[in-house]
Parts: sequence; structure tokens; C-alpha cells
Amino acid sequence: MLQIKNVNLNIGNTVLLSNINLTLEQGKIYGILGPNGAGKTTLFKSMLGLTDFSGEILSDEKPVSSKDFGSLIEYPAFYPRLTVEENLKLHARYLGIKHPDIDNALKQVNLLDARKKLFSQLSLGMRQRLGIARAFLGDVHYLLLDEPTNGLDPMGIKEIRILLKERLKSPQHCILVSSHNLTEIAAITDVLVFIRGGRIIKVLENNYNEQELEALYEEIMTSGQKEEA
Amino acid sequence: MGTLIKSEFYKLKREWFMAFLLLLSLLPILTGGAGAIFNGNTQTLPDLFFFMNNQFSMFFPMVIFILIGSLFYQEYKNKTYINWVTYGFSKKKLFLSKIIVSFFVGLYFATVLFLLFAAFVVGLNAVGRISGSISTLFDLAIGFGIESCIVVFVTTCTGAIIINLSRNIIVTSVVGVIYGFISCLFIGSEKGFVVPGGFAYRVAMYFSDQSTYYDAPGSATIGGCLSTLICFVILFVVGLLVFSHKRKIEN
Repeated sequence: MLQIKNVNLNIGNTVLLSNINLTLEQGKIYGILGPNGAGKTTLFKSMLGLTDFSGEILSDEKPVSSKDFGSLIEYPAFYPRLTVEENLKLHARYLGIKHPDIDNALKQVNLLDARKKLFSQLSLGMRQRLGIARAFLGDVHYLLLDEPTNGLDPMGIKEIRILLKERLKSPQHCILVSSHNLTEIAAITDVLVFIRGGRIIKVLENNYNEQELEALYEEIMTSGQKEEA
Repeated sequence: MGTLIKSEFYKLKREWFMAFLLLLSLLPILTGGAGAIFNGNTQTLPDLFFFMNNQFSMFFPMVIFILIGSLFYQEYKNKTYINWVTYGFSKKKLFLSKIIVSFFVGLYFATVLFLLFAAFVVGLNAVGRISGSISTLFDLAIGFGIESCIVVFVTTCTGAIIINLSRNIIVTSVVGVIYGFISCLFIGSEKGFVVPGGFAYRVAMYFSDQSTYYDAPGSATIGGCLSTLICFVILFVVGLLVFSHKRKIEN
């Protein structure tokens, strides 16, 4: 279980995260929803220890380590002159995984045939899938996927959706997906977390279809604006 | 630490900049060789070494700047920096792994350069273009080795500061060129031993021709060694602080 307690982050007078409190359980997919600049990526970065936040982030009551997370933040970043397989081997070496099951990881994301290709030769969709394969490699408990369908065509988005919901969701993993795409979030997540201006506005079970979610999103975000005004 | 160093070498696989830098570091032997063939004044081994070492002292700091710059720039350009710093290793160790790889590669380049120089000398000797003995070549190797170590160690730390402040390889390369020129300005000065690059050059030349060393050799040697050590320690610590400084948000 991941517990985020009273997390705050300010830069000068700008509030980036304000009093974030969340409890996230394994076996579920959480959708983090909010407009640009709401604090989604900053929250993910804080979980990874990449910000100078105040507060606590605990994994099973102990301070969390970046090694507990698999992540795909902002962009699937790899070494372009290494092959798909070499990039995953390098990642496994850093994590101290002695015998990484790279073939299985690549099979999960339909990249086994591309394992000898240089990263620079992959399409954006393949890069995103490789980023997800890397996030799942090893003994991670929490997966942070920041806009995993960014820049993908509808088929690519569908592939990622199937991958997350049908292949990678498991009782051992807690998956957090941030997105602007309400269709995608409605289709794959169990719990919705609405964030705006660095604050968590609402946390709801996802019992909504795309149209209902669109109306709910608008209502929650605009009510937040009215309260602030 | 072994894992980190091995991983750094792994990242260099198929990187074109390594071949480019190796060629750049061999430039002194190409220009020195051309000089020996077309210039009638280059008749002895020390003459050829003088010619090559002048070029080396100017070019090599630039090579080391681009080398250490590229090692860090890989992470910034590919946006792998965030992954790299979240593997659970301390930033000190991450910094040190890049620095150590730069030391190894820099010394490897210098070794290749000197071996090529030696092969060139043997070739020119065989056709009677220059004179010189094996023992002279051995002496030059010692001097050149000391010079290379000083240049590689001090310049790597300086380059690490620039790349981590600027995160820009062009800025780092330009500073590297300026650094090489400035070091050369101090070569001729009697007080130039305070600048590690200038001191390193004179030490290397001492093994070729003792008369080219400082007028006060004792104090210059002690001063040069102390200055080199102090510069290395300060630059290393500053580089480490610049890199490991905790930012509000890493990006």
C-alpha cells in the first residue's frame, strides 16, 4: 500500500503541490486526471524522490524508495544507439536483476521481433510500449505512467489500453496513469483522482462511461474554479 | 561502483562521438608527422616530440572537455537523466562513475597517440629521416605519461563543472577550446607552473630536453605538483557539488 501524507511543494510563491493525501492499493489502476499544470507529473516526480517536497510518502508503512517504482515519466527515454534488448539489459543491470526475463517483457508488449532494433529506429508507439515494458521489469510494486498514450494514433492508444488492462494489471501492482484523455481513463482505471492547482479535488470509484466522465470532469473542474474565485 | 562503471562503458556502444574524439586526439601526430616529412628542421626524435607535444597541449584539453561533456550530455539529451538518478544510487557515485570512465578513456586516447607516435618514429628511423634511440623514446613516454595524467585528471573535473552547469555540449566544447588556449599561454612563463596544463607541458619537455625546464627547477616542481593537486581537489569537489546539488524539481 502506498500512502502519501501531507505532501507539499512550493517554488517561491508558486504552490505546485498542496496538502496531498492519498492511499493507493495494489491490484488497482488509478487514473490521475487534471488539466495541464495541475501537478500530475510533479506528483509522480515526488513519489520518485525527484522533488524537494515536505511530507511523507510511505510504502507499507516504510519510507518509499525509488526502486519500488517502475516509471514512464513525460517521455520514453532510452539510449538511441543501443538496441531494444540492450536498453532493457542496461536497466536490469542498474536494478541488480541477475537474470532478467527480457524476452517475456518484450513479448508482453509485442516487441519481441524488434529486440535487435536500435531504439532510434522505433516508432513512437513502439517507444511507448518499450517504456511500459521497462517500467514493469523487475520487482516493482508501483507503476507510474505519465501520459502513456501521448502522441499515439487511435490504434496505438487501443494497444496500450489492452496492454494495461488485460496483460499487466495484477494483484502485485498498483498502477497510476495520468492523462488528459478521458476515453482512455474511463476505459482502464478503477479509481479516479482529480487534481487541479496542485490539490486533490476528488477521489471516486470509476463507474462511469466516457460521456458521464466528460460531464463529471467538467463539473468537478469548474466547481473547483468557482471555489477558488 | 563496478556496476555503474560497466554501465557507463556499455552506454558508449556505437556512439560516433568516441570515434570522432579518437581522431581528434590523433591530430597532433598527423600534423607532427606531416611536419617531419615536409619540414627539413625536424631531424631528431626530440624535435618531432616537441612538434607533436605543442599540438597535444592545445588540442587534448578540448578533447577531454568534449569527452566528459558528452558523457553527461548523453543523459540530458536522451532525457535518461531522470531514470539514471532514480535507480537508487547516490549522486556522488553516479558522478564518480562518469569521471572514472572519462579518466580511462582519456588515458586510453593518450596511450594510442603515443603508440602511434612511437610507430611513426620507428618508420621514420628506418628510412633515415630522423635519429633517436629507444631509451630516448622511453624517457619521452614517461614525460608524456605524466603530462597526460595531469591534463586528463584536471581537465575532466573542469569539464564536468561546465557541462552540469550549462547542460549544453556546444557551450562545453567552446569553453574547452578557450581552456586549451589559456593553458598554452602559461607554458612559456616562469611562474606558469601554477597552471596545471602549463606545468604538465614543461614536465613532458623536461624528459625531451632538460634545458627547457624552469630556471628554478626545485621550487617550480614542488609548486607545480602542489598547484596541480590543489586544482584537482577543488575542481573535483566543485564538480561534485554542482552535480549533486538538490534541486526543487529534477528534470
